[in-house]
Amino acid sequence: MATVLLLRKSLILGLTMALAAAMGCHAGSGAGEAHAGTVAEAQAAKPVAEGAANSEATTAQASARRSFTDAVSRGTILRVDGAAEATPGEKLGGYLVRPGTEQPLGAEALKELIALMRADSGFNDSIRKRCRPGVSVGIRLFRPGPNAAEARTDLVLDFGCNRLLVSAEGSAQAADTYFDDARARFVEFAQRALPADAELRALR
Amino acid sequence: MAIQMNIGDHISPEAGFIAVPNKHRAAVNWARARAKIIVRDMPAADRYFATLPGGRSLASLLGDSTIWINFNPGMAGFGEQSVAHNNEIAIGPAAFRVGRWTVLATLVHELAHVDGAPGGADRRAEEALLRCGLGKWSEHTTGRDDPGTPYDPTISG
Repeated sequence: MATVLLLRKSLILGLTMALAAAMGCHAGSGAGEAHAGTVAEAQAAKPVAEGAANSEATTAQASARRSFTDAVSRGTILRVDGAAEATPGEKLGGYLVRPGTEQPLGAEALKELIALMRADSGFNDSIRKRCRPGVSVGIRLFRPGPNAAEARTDLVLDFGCNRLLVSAEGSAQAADTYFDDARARFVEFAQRALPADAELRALR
Repeated sequence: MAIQMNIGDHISPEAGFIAVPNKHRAAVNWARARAKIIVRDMPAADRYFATLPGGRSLASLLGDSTIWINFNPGMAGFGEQSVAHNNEIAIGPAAFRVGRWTVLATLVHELAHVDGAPGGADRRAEEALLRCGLGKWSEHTTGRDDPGTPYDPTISG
């Protein structure tokens, strides 16, 4: 049945292309472009509110990402691994902490990380991925809080999915974004921050 | 009408989402047909989808011709769903490399997102696979992945 439907769909596509050619459309005006018009029209007809909401959603991700880097006074970096909810052990952003790997981030590394996080480009906030976790690092960022207590933000950089997860203690606000276009910079950062880690050194 | 596969008759508004290449169309067709069998034989699947924020059943999603299955040749991972354009999903080369059961698993996961399952550290989209018989509950309770099933308890978002 599915094959029959696919054949019908292909036939309609072929007929559309043949019709376009017969009508003397310029080269490249195949079914795709014929449909492009339809799609563009459909998009133009979309309620403005929907577009605005989508734009707000991705802007919220970007502003959350940036807001977590405000007034950061210190940070630490450690190795983490993808884990299930049921996996016992200390977690950071849902990932399992590798005990004994936590190291302070130097001032230069902290500055580099904040610049990466605040960058306007290199992130894709508009998708969600189904992806197996890969080599990952966790980062804890601290900022002065009320009553001399420090407020903490947790970050996970998952190089298997090129994913950045951000969550803050006591805050519902979080960011979940993908850094495919900035991967090289994040890999270099992690390799410099944990230079003795062989798995990180092997990342390209 | 049913959920649609982009065979070149649709331009996705999501960057990178393109038509499913010829060589992968049989796997997508098989996954769509298999998902309908799941709906028929496993009422728990529909019930689970109805608990997601969108409140729709799996049957309703599979019958929605405004949902498009695309291909993204450049993605890291098995599948993607567009946050900005909710009804656009894509399956990547890695899923096709593993095989049609992973294509089906990815379709079910992404449809859970279309139905409002959150991303981030949330596990509800992947848990949909369990409710569709694509994983073992022992994987869920122990946290240990069985490579013999498409469900992976370590996948979040």
